[in-house]
Formats: sequence, C-alpha cells, structure tokens
Amino acid sequence: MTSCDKYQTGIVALFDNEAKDEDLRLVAGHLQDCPECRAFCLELVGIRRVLVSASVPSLSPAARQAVLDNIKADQSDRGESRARNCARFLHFGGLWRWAAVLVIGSLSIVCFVLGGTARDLRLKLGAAEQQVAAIHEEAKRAASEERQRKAISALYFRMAELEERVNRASPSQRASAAQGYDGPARESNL
Amino acid sequence: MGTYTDEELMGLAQKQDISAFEELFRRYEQRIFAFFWRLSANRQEAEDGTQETFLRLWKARVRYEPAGKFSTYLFQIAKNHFLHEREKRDRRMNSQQPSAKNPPGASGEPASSDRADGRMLARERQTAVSEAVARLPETLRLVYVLTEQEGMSYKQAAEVLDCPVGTVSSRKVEAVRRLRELLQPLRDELLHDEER
Repeated sequence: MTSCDKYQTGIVALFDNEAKDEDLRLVAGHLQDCPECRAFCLELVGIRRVLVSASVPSLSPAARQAVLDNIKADQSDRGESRARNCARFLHFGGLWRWAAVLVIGSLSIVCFVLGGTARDLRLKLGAAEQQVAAIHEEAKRAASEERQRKAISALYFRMAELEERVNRASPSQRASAAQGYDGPARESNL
Repeated sequence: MGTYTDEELMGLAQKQDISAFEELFRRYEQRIFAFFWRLSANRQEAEDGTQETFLRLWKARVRYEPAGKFSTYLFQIAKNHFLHEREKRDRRMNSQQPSAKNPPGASGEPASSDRADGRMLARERQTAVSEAVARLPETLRLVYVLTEQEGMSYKQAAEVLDCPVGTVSSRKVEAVRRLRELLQPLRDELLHDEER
C-alpha cells in the first residue's frame, strides 16, 4: 500500500458521503500537499460528471408490455393449474369416496355378523349362568336336607338310648321316677 | 395506488392484486433497467434482465417479508439474476471459445480528439466510460454501479450484495482505481474538461 492509498480510500468515501469528520480533516490536509491525490479527485469528478450526463435509454414499450403479459400469463397459468389440481382432487376424491363406501360397507357387514354372534354368545352365557345358579340352589337344598336327616337320625338314636337306659333301671326307681317326674330335669338329661 | 408504500403494494400483490404489482413495476422499471444497462451496456441484456427480475419478484411475492427496504429486496433479485446469467454465459464461452476474454464492444479505444462536434465528443466519452465500467470485474462493477450510479449507501449496497460494509468500501476503491487505469487514454480529457 502506497502512502496515498489510505487518503484515496478517504477521498472515495468522501465522494460517497460515507466519510467521518476526522477522515475529512485528514484528506483536506493531504490534498494541499499532494498533486497526485488532487488529480485523483479531479478524475473522480470527471468520471462522475460523464456518468451523470450519460443518458440511460428507457425500457421499450414492447419490453414493458412483455413484462406485464408474462406476469398475467403466469397468474392465469397458476389459476389454470389450480383448477386442474382441483379437478384432479375431485377425480381422486370420487375414487376415494367409492373406496370409503366399500370399506364402510364391509365394516358394517363384519360388525353385523360379529354383533349377531356376540348377541348369541351373550344369551348362551345368560342361560349358563342361570343353570349354574340352579345347580348351586339344588346343592344348597340337598346339603340342608342332609343336615336335617342327620339331626333327626341323631335324635332317634338318642331317644333309643334313653329308652334303653330307662328299661335297665329297677322297678322301684322306675316308680319313684314316675312319681317325682321332673320334666325339665329329664329334658336336660336328654 | 400512488399513496401506498412499496411494502404495502407488495402486500397487496401477495393477495393476487395485479394492479398493485403494476404500480410497483411502474415505480422501479426504469431503475432496474438502468441497473442492468449500466452493468452490461447492452440493451437486449438490460431488457431481458428487467423482465426476468420482475417475473421473479412476482413469483417470489408469497415469500416476501417486509423486514427491510423493498428496493433492497428487488435489487437483490436483480443482482442474483445478473450473476446467474454471467455464470451461465461464462460457462458457455469457456466450452466454446476458451480464448475469448474481452466482452464485445470493449475495445477501450479513446474517443477521437479531432472531432469538431462537441456533442459527438461528449457522447463518445460517455460511451468510453460506460464501456470501461462494463469491463470491470463483476464484483467491483456491482459495487460501483450500486453506490455510484444507483446512489445507494454502503450499508444498503452491502445488504444487496450480502457482504460486510467494509468489503463494499474496499471494492469501491478498487473499482475506482481500475476505472482510472481503463480510462488512462481519456485522462487528459477528463482532467481538462474538469479544469475548464
């Protein structure tokens, strides 16, 4: 980098309104002593003047129209493609609808069949539960009768035992016993 | 439509309002055309670039978010298109004519000083300067055109070019130096013209 490079950077920034105040002071001081940088400045001004005075042609009406036409064509293309997509969607939508009807129908039949089976099974289960309950009831009754029969047997056995004991006793004892019959005591013996 | 800001117009264009887009086009068509014209010094390229830029803007309107200035966004599209086209052209030229390096119309010959007509002389000088700008390397040319001819600040140019402000500053200085070298044959005229 030559000694003038940093000043020329400052000059360019100055021309573009991008220089800071200290750059301005630095460049102003340098320009007084440096003919090369003064020439650089003058050239910049000359180039800028030429560029500013250079006329730029306008966009031709045909090109302008072409831009607008392209945009409108793009918009209508998008509209058409949206319509096409919509139609395609509806077409596929029809297919999907039929498929859905088929699936729903199949599922309904399956549900109906399974539902009938389930109903039958439920009825069978109810009947089986009733049978089990009846058997339980029967078993309970049988057990109760058995208990009663055993109790009666035990009672008969005890009575027989008592009669035998009474027969073995002496006649005097039997008479006294007959005279002083004590119901409750006898019952307690029983 | 005239009272809307650029960003508001773009918002309307996002809702398929084509008249809002036409208003944006009216506002910027000349600036974008001039941008391409100054970069390429070729009418056809400038017109194609302008058309393509606005078509890309139309297609990208849905993705637009008004985070920064609309003009920055638009010039970014233009710059990307310019670089893309240059890359394509360079690839094509490399595959066809590896030795062809100078762009057409870039002879760099100074204007004939013996022409009597001052206006003709001035026009030739303008052509020479425009051609010299067109001969700058792309990165320097973009910085030069945006800051010098589009009047952008270094910050805005940095946003368009997606680079730091310091890079813009250094490229601008480099562009000016290269331009001085290219315009060396015209140096006396430029200085003389300034002194007059």
